Parts: sequence; C-alpha cells; structure tokens
Amino acid sequence: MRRFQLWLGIALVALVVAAAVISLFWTPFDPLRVVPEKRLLPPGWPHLLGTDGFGIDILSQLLVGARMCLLVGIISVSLATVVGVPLGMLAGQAGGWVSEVVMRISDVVYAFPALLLAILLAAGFGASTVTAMVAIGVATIPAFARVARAGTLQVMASDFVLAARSSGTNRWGIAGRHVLPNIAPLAGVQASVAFAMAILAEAALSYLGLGTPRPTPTWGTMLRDAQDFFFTAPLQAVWPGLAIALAVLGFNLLGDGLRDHLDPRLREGVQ
Amino acid sequence: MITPRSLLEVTDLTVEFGRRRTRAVNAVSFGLEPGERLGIIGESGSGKTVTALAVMGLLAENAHVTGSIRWRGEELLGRPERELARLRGNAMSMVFQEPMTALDPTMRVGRQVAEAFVLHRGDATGSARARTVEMLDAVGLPDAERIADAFPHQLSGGQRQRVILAMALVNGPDLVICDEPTTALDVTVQAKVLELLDEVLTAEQAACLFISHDLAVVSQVSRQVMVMLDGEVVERAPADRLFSAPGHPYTQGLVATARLDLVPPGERLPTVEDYYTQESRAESQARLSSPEADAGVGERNEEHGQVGRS
Amino acid sequence: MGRYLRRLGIFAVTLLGASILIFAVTAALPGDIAQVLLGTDATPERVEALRREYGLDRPLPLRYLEWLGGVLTGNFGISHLSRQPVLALIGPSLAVTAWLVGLGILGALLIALPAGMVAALKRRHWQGFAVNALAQLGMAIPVFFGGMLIVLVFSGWLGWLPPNGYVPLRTDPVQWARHLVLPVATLAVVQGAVLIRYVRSAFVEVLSEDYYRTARAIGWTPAAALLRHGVRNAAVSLVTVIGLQLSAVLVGAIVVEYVFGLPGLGWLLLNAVGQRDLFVIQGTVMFLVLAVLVINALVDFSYLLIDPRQRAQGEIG
Repeated sequence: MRRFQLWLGIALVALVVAAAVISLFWTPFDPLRVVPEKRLLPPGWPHLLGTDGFGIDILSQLLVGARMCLLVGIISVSLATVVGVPLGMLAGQAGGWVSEVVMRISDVVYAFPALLLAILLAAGFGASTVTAMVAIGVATIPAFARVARAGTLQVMASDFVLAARSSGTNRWGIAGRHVLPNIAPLAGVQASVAFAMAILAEAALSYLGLGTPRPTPTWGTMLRDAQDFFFTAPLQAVWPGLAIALAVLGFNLLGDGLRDHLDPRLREGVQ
Repeated sequence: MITPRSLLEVTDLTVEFGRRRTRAVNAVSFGLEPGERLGIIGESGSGKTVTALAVMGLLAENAHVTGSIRWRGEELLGRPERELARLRGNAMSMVFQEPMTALDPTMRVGRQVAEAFVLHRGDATGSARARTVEMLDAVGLPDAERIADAFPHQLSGGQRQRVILAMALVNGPDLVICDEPTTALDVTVQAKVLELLDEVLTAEQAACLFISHDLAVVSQVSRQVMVMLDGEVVERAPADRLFSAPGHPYTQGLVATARLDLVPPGERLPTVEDYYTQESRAESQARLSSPEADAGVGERNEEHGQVGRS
Repeated sequence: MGRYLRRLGIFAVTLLGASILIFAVTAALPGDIAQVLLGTDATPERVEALRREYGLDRPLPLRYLEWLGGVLTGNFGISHLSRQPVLALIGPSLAVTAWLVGLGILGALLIALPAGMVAALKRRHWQGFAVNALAQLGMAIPVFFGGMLIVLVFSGWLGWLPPNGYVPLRTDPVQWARHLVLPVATLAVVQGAVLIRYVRSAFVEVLSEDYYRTARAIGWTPAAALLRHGVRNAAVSLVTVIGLQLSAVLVGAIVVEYVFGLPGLGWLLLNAVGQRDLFVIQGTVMFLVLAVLVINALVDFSYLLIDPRQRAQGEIG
C-alpha cells in the first residue's frame, strides 16, 4: 500500500515533468494564438481538450502550464533550500544568541503566508513570475530552517560528532562531513512537500492575478479565465484544476513515500 | 446442569503477531477457581503480559490468538468487542505496571475511578462519588476526598498505583490481573502496596493473576506460581516448593537470583545464566518452535513493546 | 511566569520585525510611492505635490516610526483613493472574514475530528485507507477550484444557494446564512482535509498511551475510550497545529472571498492591489499579520485550559 503510494507519486511527478519537457519542443497548437472563430470548442478533434474563451487550444496551454508550474516550483524551493538549510544549520551548530536571532527572524517570516508576501511584492513591483517565485520562496525559508536546525541539533548530540570533535575536526569539517549528509534526506522530504505547496501557491497567485501575467499560460490563469464561462463550459476549468490537483498529489505522495523510506519506524505496521 | 465451573480456564493459548506470525505465547494452559491466586513469573519477553492481555482481550489488532479462554465456562475468544467491554473493569479488571502513565493526565483521579463505576453500574442514585471516596479510602489513601480532586501529576507513584487499584476494584471484580503492579515503585512503597493488595483481594474474595519478574514479590501474594520462558510454561508449583526444589534449570536460576541473601559475602552473585545457559535455551527453542516462529529476536521484542511492557 | 514574559517578548519582537518587513517592501524598495500611486503618466508636479502631502520627502526611519506609532494607536493610515481611514475600511470587512474563518475552522474540525478518529482506529482496515486517500485528494485540490466546483453543483445545477455576494447578518439573517454556506463549506472541506492527517497522528499516539489501555481495561470500547480520554489529550497537539494552520486558513479565506465575491479583508486587499492603493495594502497586511500573531499567542495560553500539568504545580498528600 505504502509502496503503491510512492510509485503513484513518482508516476504523477514524471507525468508533469514529461509534459513540461514536451512543451519545450512541441505543442499541438500555438498556446498563445487567439482564434476568435474557434472559441469554446468542446473536447474533440483536432482540439483534444477543446478551446478556451479566446479560441486557444487547452491541451497546448496545459503542457506549457506544466513548464511554468515546475519553473516556479524549482526556483522557489531552491531559494528556500539554499537560504533556509544553511541558516538552520548555523542556528543548530552555533546555538546561543545566533540561534535566537535566526529563529526570531524565521518567526517573522513565518507570520507571512506566501500570498501576503506576493501581495506586498505585487503592490511594489507589479505582479510577475519573479515576484511570485520570490514570495513563495521567501515564505518557505522558515520551514527549511526549522527542519535543518532540528536535524542539526540531533546530529550534534550524537556520539560520532563527539568523536569527530574530540579528534580535532573543526566546525566546518563537522558541518560538511557529518551534519549536511545527515540532514540532506530530511531536507529532501521537506523539498518535496514544499514543492507541492509551491504549486498550490503559484496556482492561487496566478488565479488572483498576482503571478505570471497573460499571455503566458499557467494553470492558475487558465482557471481564472475559465471562471467567466464556468456555468456554460465547466470542462474548461476542470482540465487545469485537475492538472494542479494531480501535480500536487504527486509531490505530496512522493514526499510521504520518501519520508517512510527514510524512517522505517514511521511505517504503518509498527506503532 | 449443575457442574462446578472454573472461573477462568485457559487452554492451549497461542498468540502470534503480525504478518510473519511471530509467536509470543505458545500453547499455554492454566485454570483459576473463584478466589484463587496464581502468580506468573518470567523475564521480559517471556509472554506473561501477552497472556494477561489475551485474557482481558486487549491485545493489539495484529495479534492472532488461538486456543481457548473460557470465563465461567463460556468462550471469550471471538466474542464481539461490546460484550468483552462489558466484562472488563466489571467482572475482571487489570492493574498495570506504570502508575506514572496509566492514568489520564487531564482528568481528576476521582472522576477516573467514578468513571469505572458509572460505566457498569450507572449513576442514577448519585452514589458514584461516595463509592469512589470509599474505594480510595479502602486502598489506604488518607484524605480520600482531597485525593479524588487531584490530577495524576499531583500524586506520588505509590498514590497513583493505589488509585489504579481502586479503579480495578471499584466494581468488586471476580478476577484482578496485576501486571508488575509494584515494579515501578520504591521498595518501601512496594511492600505496603503488596500488603494492601493481599488485604483487599481477601476482603473482596477476588481471584488474582499476578505477574512479576520477581519471585520474592510473587510469593507474597500468591501461593501457586507458574514459570514462563520464551512464551511457554516451563513449570507450575506452589511458591515454597519452587524455592525449596525448583525443577526446571531456568527456575533454579530464578531462585538463586531471588535468594541473594544466601550468598556468602565476597562471592560472585549468581545469575540465571549460571543455571540455564543461552546455548541450552537456543537448543530448546529450536526443538519447540517452528522455524518461522523464530523470525528474529529484534522483531520479537518490537512486537512486545507494542503489546505491553512485559 | 518567566516563560510568559519571554513569550510576550518574542511576540513583540516578531511584530516589530513584521512591521519593518511590510514597511520596507511597500515604502522603501519600490522607489517612489507617489509615482506608483499616480501611475507612470503623471506629471512631475503632481508627483511632487503628492510626495509633500504624504510626507514622502522626509527621511525613511522617521516615516517608519510615524507609521508604527499610528499602527500601535489604531491609525493604519488613510486610503489614497477613497480618502477614508484604513481602519474604517477594515472594520466592516473584518466581520465578513471573521465569520468565514471562524465558521470555516469549525467546519474543518467537524470534518477532520471524526474522519481522523476513524483513520486512527481503523488504520489497518479499508476505512482507514479510504479516509487517507480522501484526505490526500482534498489536500491536492486548490481552494479556488474546489469553490468553483461547489458553486457549479449547488448554484449552477441544483440552484439551491446563491453563487456569490453577501448580506450582513443584521440586515437579513436568513440571506446572510444562505450566502455564507458555500464559502464556509469550501474552506471547511479544504482545511478539513489538511487537518485530518494531524488529527489521525494525534489519535494514533493516544492509542499507544497507557491511559488509553487503562480506559479499555475499565470497560470502554475503543471508540468510546478514544472519545473519552483521547480528545482532550490529543487537543494539546491539535491546538498547536490549528494555530500553525491559521495563516493557511486566512490565505484560504482571502482566496475564497475572491471566488465568492465576499466583501471581506481579502476582497479589500485584492481590490487595493488592483487599484494600487498602497496605504490600504500596508495597513491591511499589517492588520492580518497582527491578527495571526495575536491568535497564535492566545493558542499558547490555551494550553493552560487543556492540560492541567501546565497549571501551577501543587503537591497533594
């Protein structure tokens, strides 16, 4: 059962990645070209999933949307990891006032959901893909810092670190050789979960008009556009909605699966 | 048909855990008459707690229980949960090992005792509180009114164990199962609680299944003692006979370690292994159990941790 | 006591940090607020006039302190567009959002508590797997998509309830309720799905506790023992989770308000973004962050009510 979940997660993530890669080379139709006479076509041939209110092929938009969703996810999660993990390690290794300062700053950022940050940034700089990525990334930093700090504290209390310290390994050596390899798996699990949340956040931001502006298709903007014809052509909204749900489900299952894989004690059979 | 029936009859009780069916208890049989007391002795993992939990019907869901457990002649195995629940805390009750954690930390202890009463008797007459105070008084808690209004964390270990005892006895059960009830207590408190237990069991005329790893403790409560090892009963005899003429080598070791006062000063203290070596144990295990049952000591311990702390 | 003073200190520091962040992003980084407010085609003279009017020509730290002082005394600034105090705009919107968030959390708990309990008790049976699968699905569905689907079914197809809009409670309680049902349900379903796994693991933990076994031993059935002795004990960890989830619920509420056209804080905020009404954005975000922090502080104190061990320790006997 657990194994099945992990594989389902991997399969869904692979599907999104495949869609994104394919969209780089080929889409059935031009995902940007407006064709007024082909508005709101139902699914069929040649438009497999139909067309939207501008007469743009929905499948083509979905493929390109996968690219945008992955792009925002990768950049924002990388930003959060690259900033959050070292900060958490620093707090865990240094302790004392350093830890206090890092964790208090982390608290401040934690009080800001990605959406509020995105609203602030959009107000200041205008809404764009970049503001969305920065907002999501910054809002995710505290989660990584906390995971890294907790992991570091655990590693620092272990016997092998004590042995390394007594044999004269310095701080950086311990951080590089012992702490980082031990907290990397934790950070990996966190990254997978954060990716799922980033996809949701990105979709919400573009749906609210705070993310990637038109004409670049994202799943969120597709839903936003589809809302105008929702009672007459609900399928138009169902496709991007389904795409978001499956991508999020994939990354969540992947994260759960990795966590179980790393920590067998958490497996169902044994409590 | 008027046949005198035993209170409890356990026949060929076998308990296995998990998909791999790791065997924790193997073909255990024993009987208890009303008012009779039986001690079960054995080391951690010998299956004594699992046996007790099987009688109570409180084993984890992944336990496969076979054999027979008859209560006043009626089979308990396979009975619906609801019927078993009606029996528990009422006709048979249990006292656990850990007084520190066995009480709900968020509820006043008086309410927890009263709960056991109300659950089976109802509180139409409003007598639960009076009965609670009476019970707390009976288990030797001075100022029972005040204790009843305390939270568990405000009481000492001995006090808590007395509260648990009061919970177990509040409905006048026919059988009280005590699982290492004094192990977590100080030695001085231990003696007092054992004395009290003996007293209330006599007063209530309740039968008792007393589990311990300590022969000296068991013999204070029960005259009959059953020795368990690796899930099997290796010996059953009156306590004084076990002391004077232990049969099984493992029992000999237990007795020797229980009578450390007999060791001349300066000599090395005896261990069970002096009498019953790991090798002979492995041999008998290989003889007794099927190959699957031997699926790793680590896993076996894990399963025990889940079921109880035997 | 020292512990609470420390909590209070952290609260103050966090609030201060949050105010700096908000002020920095909206006031300092973009360069010229006046230009932003008026748009790129405004004449330099008008921009200059506006700068003077808002005191934007004065040094930043001074402006920050003034703004902070205003926030602390309940003066969140004045809307550039409507010329109304920001607090006067927040007031009526707050009522809408508070209803939505409050009822939404209540609904989420009504969904997550029973479902999580089933998932814990039946974790080796199909019921447990089914609950887990549904929770995973619920967590994956974006709140706005969920809202759209609910509107489609209950307003579009069945025609039972209005798809959007709001009527204040005092004007017409029946219409108020009819307009809130779908948004609250949307928020409750999505947040409930997130909560299920926390409820489940809190209860699974209770199942392995000794006091749960004691409760079973005195004659409670598994479900009854969990209800009687599990809920209060699980509540300690659940309250923490709900506190942490609060900002997520708030974000969900903002999106839901947008989907259903509810004139709450989210609506106010998103409109202000659309119209570049910076002072409203600044004030409303500050207010929301303040609300999140205050509620989190209250969560800390609620442990006292739930767990007697946290209260003053006294030895009896």
